[in-house]
Amino acid sequence: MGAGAVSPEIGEGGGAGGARAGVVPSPEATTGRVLVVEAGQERWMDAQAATSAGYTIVDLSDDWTPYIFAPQMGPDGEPLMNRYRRIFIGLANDKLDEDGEPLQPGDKNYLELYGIFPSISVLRERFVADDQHPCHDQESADALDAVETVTYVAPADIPKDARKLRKIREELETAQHKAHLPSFEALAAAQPALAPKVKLLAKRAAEKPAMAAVERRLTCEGLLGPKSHHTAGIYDDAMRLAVRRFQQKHMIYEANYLRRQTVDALARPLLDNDYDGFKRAMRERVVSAASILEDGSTKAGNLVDDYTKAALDGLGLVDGASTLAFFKRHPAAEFKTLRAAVKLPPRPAYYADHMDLSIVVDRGDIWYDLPFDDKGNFHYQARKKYPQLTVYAKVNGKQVAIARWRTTIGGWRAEQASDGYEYYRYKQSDVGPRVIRQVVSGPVWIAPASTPIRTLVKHKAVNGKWMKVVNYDELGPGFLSAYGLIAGYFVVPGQNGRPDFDNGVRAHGSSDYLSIYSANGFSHGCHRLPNHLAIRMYSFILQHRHMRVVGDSPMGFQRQFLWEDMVYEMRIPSRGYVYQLDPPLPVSVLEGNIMGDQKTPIIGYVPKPGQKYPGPPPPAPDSPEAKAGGGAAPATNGGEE
Amino acid sequence: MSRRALSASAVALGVALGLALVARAQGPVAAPPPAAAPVAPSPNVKITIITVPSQKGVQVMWGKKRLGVVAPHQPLILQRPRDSGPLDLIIKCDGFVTVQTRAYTFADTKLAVKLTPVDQKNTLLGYRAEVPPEPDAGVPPPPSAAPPPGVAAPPPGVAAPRPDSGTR
Repeated sequence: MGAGAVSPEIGEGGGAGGARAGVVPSPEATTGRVLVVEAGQERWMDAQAATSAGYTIVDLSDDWTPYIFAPQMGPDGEPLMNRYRRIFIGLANDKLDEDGEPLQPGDKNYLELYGIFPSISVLRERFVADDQHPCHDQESADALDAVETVTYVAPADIPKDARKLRKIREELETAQHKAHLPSFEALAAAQPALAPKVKLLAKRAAEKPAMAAVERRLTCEGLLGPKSHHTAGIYDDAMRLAVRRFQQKHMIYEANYLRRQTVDALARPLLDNDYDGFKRAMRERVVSAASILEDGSTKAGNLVDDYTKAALDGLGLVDGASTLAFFKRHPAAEFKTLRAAVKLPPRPAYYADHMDLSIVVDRGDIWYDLPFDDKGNFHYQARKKYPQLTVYAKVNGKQVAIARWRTTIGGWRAEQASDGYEYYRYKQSDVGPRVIRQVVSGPVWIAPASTPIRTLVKHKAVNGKWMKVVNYDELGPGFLSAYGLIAGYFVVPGQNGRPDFDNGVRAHGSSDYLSIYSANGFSHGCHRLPNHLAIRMYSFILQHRHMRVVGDSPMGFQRQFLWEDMVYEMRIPSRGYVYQLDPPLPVSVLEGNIMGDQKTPIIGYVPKPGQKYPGPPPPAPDSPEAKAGGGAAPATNGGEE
Repeated sequence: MSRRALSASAVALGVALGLALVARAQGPVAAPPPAAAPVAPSPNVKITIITVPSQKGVQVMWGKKRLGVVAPHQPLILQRPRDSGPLDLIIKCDGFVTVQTRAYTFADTKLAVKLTPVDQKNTLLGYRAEVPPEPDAGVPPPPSAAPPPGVAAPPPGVAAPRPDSGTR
């Protein structure tokens, strides 16, 4: 552990370019040459001269990471080990898998939805390849333009669905015949009650060529191949997986069905989609270079989009064609180290090296009632107001919201009791003032003993054998982990020499975006954000608050558990890479609106409807480890040195 | 996933692993040596595997491949490229529950894998006791006993089982 870098100096009210307004460039950032575009002409410029001239340097190199994974030095001047940095870079470059092992040649990661954007090299390769194989034809585009969505019919329900459509058709034909009308459209106009059925038939008819177009496109993009075992015209597992890959590739937050955004993206030319992907990757790099957060989610403006546009315009990368030309001008090898210098707009006057920032979580509408009745029937508990996390900056004595996103609160979750059986338990999101003292990048989640065991095991190919292993995806570090790629730990500050009280609640990144955006999504008490937003938020906080880089936090945790006659041993060598905020960041969690009859949380375990148990529910553990997200588990006498 | 070739070799050390770190004799504390230039870490790491309790013929598997055997006073030592990703291993021993564990390659590591006898697996986290059979679906409760907690009493009108109707 050692004192590390502190937040960068940022000139108050300065522009975004240069040392005054951007992050103070590291010595590495100001050495070497950078690409500058002036009057449409590219030229190389000394990095130091560029920053002096008011440019902001945007790192386009393969080794770029957001601030939370950036190299840091210890007090002895030696680099601090960050266990996840290598994996993050490997994932972004399609070189490594989630465990840090080499990716199979030709495999792609497509991890934007999970907070890891492809490197510019990967995008360059995509542009160049797609220029050769456009995968776009007018017939397919027209077929997809004719529909907004494609109805999902489960393979098992296809005969039933066909019977239903046939019956509707027969009904309409009879009505059309009786009314002596020339078409179904005329029938719908004459008899409005039948219009929805006419519309349904027309929609389903249009979906057939659309589905064929989807198949052609996914096949051409290499997402649906002969090994997929897809049956034409059917939304089978192969199609679902291919659609999911497509959504991952294009950062589409939809369930694995052919909904509007997915269909729209499938209808667009590849280079257009590639350019959107390039813009998204550049956005994160520009946000990082300028150290900004305002993204239009509040009235504080949309610096994220404005700065990204300024950077792209400045470099002349305004569409797919100009970006393709740029990639053709610059060979792949150049992107190993390429940096560009751009002029960015001035930043708001409230920017400073240490900003008066805070976080408020509004829990929104809360239901404490059981989600099922005494017969075991589940009931949807509607919420009009969803939980939100807002980042505030105090400006001239007033709190100004600079970013606000939907987040999660706890709810009814399955938990494993000491008798080995699962029960429901209400996982509360604590209310009241808290602080974030520690921010951990690449955090691990120590699954408490109450975690359902079935979630802690997964299948994995290990050296050519498909086998069950501990589900480290869930534990981390990694983009899929329970804490995502970064977490801030909510604690009640200790007073009179007492340590902080940690009840296991964090605001953290998450790959489970449906839990954040769906109507019935909940956490175990933590406040989740999509990984890329959590990365932005904590990178911003770390760059605009006084803090100390602690570095890797070894722990040597191990725990064994039994699942289906085999012992699984989880071994966790590190908690992650720790940053210490000093002073800590104030957090306030608002109670929200308590709905329903139950006005306080139900304590303890509740039997699951339909489940048989060997006895009454055991007492629910009350330790911080077992609450909310857990993770406060102490290190054990692990057998790892 | 393809992996780099694993160089695995079982090495008999001849001494217990605990002795690998030899305790220094007590005495005056010597002045620290002058600060040396940082030494680049070796390109490989050593993963040393033992079991607790130590047993004969403990097999260590990595996917399809058998890496070697751990025996009393004879740990299995594997070499891997530094920071090359984790190894998911299976530890098998007759009479004990098979263990899946993981070794990391950030640094030299010792894995002491606890083995649990098959007849003691009820001591492990996650062990589930069987649900007692319902009165009408197997062994009935003794007539004089109250139903076990969580099990409904027989409905009215259902005759109490005869004392000799239980399992034999």
